[in-house]
Amino acid sequence: MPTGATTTGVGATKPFDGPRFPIDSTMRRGDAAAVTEADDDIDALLGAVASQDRAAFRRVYELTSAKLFGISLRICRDRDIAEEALQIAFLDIWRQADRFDPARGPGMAWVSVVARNRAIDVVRRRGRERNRSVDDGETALQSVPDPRQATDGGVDHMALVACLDELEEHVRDMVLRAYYLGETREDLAARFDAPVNTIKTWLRRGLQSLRGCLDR
Amino acid sequence: MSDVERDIDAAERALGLEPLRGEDREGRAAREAWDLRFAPLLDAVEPVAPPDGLLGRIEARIEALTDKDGTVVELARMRRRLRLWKGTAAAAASVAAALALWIAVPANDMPARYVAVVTSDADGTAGMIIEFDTGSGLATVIPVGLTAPEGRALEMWQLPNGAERPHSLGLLPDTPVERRTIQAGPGDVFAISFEPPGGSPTGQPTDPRFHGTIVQVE
Repeated sequence: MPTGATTTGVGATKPFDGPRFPIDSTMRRGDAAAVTEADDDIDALLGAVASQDRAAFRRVYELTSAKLFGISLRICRDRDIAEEALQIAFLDIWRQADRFDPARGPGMAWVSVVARNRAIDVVRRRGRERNRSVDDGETALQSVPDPRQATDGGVDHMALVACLDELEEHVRDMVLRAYYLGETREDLAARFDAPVNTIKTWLRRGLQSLRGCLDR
Repeated sequence: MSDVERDIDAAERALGLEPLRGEDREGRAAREAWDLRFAPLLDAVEPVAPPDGLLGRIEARIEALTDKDGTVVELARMRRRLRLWKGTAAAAASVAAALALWIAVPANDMPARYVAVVTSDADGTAGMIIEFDTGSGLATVIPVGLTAPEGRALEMWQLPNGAERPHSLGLLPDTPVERRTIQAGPGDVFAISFEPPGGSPTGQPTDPRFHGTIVQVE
């Protein structure tokens, strides 16, 4: 219990001079030391990034930027737009690393989700011409990756793959197109030649089945 | 709307079919849970070498951000400290739970989170964290390892932004949960003082020891 006799503040006649936050220099030194030991451990690196450690941030960039650019490019379908989205994603990672909680999932998943959500956000705000995704044909970037080919192989991943396989094929395809390529309901309506409301209903039913399956 | 329907709404946002803007706290938590459910799919995406010089352009933006608006960095630091302190509170779970109380704050159309971290004047350690959620109109008060010296009581105070004198929010309660209604807003200062049993005899804090103000965190 502190015993200092400071009485500045609420009860005193002179104005309160603002909150006094503790100086956490020891904490930040500790994190910096942890980085050198952590090497390629993204979880530990993100902890250091949360303490504004630029060296740790550069290492996170080196370890993740190719994967995140791949994610961004599939959704944005334009190198310049994908780069802009990725720049903002890394700014998000810099500013919000303190929100990463290793208890909820691995750091690689967290940065991947940040990049994907940012790419979706940038594409939606730019209002990508809808027809492009439908008429361009199947370029490599527009093919849907096969979730079964992923190297993750963890329990959550296996469960997700199994549950996606339980969906009707066209619904599974829609979910994956929305997820990997950022397709909208309108994109899907054009591709599957069905009204937007029907697409919405199919997807909601599909998500509900997925939810039930994943909770099993 | 049922819980299941709300959760499917969250799944639609996670898929990118609906915008994330306008999520409330529960909606965001539900969507983030879906984000993590879907995340293993991203493992199948082929890496593509990013453009040369991208890291430099990102770092330049970080510099610009820091120079122009140091508060962004300060807020990130504060959120981190807040989490560390909450960890401390969780470690002393019985103490924290025993003293948690709720304060009603005016609900607001634009949900935002504010915190006040009330720290010791003597050594800067946290004495109390108040989290305000203007969406729900509730604030949670979490004392962190606060104990009154023998024969003294802990009294909470609020100095509304622009006011000259603080008013008492009462003694920290012994009961597990207590509800009190107060008005609070950005710039308000909160304090804790040591007082005789039963509270300050003067209506003003006689021995203030901890201070902190409200800061918006998101």
